[in-house]
Amino acid sequence: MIPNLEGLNKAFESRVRLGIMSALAVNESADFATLKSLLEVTDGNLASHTRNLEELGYISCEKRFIGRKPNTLFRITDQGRQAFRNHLNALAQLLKTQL
Amino acid sequence: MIFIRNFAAQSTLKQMDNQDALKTLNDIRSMMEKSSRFQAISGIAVALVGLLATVAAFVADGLFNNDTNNAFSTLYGNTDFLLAEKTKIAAIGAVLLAIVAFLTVFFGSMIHARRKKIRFEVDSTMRRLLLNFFVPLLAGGILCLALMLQGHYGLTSSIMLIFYGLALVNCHHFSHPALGVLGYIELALGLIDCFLATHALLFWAVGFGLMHIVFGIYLIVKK
Repeated sequence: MIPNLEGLNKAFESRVRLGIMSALAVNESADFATLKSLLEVTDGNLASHTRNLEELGYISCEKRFIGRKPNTLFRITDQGRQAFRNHLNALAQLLKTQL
Repeated sequence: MIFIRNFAAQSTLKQMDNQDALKTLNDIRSMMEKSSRFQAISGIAVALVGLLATVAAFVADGLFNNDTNNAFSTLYGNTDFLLAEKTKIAAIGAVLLAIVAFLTVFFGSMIHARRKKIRFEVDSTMRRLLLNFFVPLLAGGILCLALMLQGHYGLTSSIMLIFYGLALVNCHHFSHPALGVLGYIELALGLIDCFLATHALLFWAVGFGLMHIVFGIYLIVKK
């Protein structure tokens, strides 16, 4: 994803995607239901954002079954962690320059 | 509640100003805490557990005190109520107390969360919290039981305090950070206690009673 002038990542503009990355940055993994209740979004909304982040290579997704119930587990990738860190640094930089 | 602004700002991210950046960083921080820490511990429930433990300590004091006119002597006619029997009662009492204490905090927190609209779900964070809390605690409990079965009662209170302290230190990353402080205090009390042959019940009362009351009040005041 091409960063804009300030080095902010356009992929993290949406609050849902930013929330997903924040949650996955501090947790080893999180399943779909956990993310859904954390972010207070609908299934469809969350699914489209996770798919988007997965396509960018920022998160990985593992589908499995717990008993008969399908369960999707998300993890942040190294690439995703780096991109998220860059985004945070850009935000911090923005604060510094404008203070 | 959080992040709402970002929807409006999507097309104008280039003009993100100081306020926006600060708010976004705060949002990220709050999401990180919300997702990795169990935040709904009820101060009232913790203080209640402390009160319960204090009462239990007084009851145990009455049980072991051989004074002729205390409650238990009167109750059982001060006859051949053997030390082993008393110890058995105290041990069962302690286990029951631990179960009641856990249930009080668990359901107290559930009610607290519902009232304050804090997230309360048995998710991976709570599972990690419980696992990290109970593994050291159960190890300590089993050790206590083994020592009691072999007739060593002297270190019971300090082992309880030490392992409870370790359990708190071990799990505080998944909940309120101050749990770690409480854990270190319990650990210190337990370690001091194991060098002193007397005053076991006093240490127990301070560690499980007073400390929980203080911590409970701290949780209530802080919010």
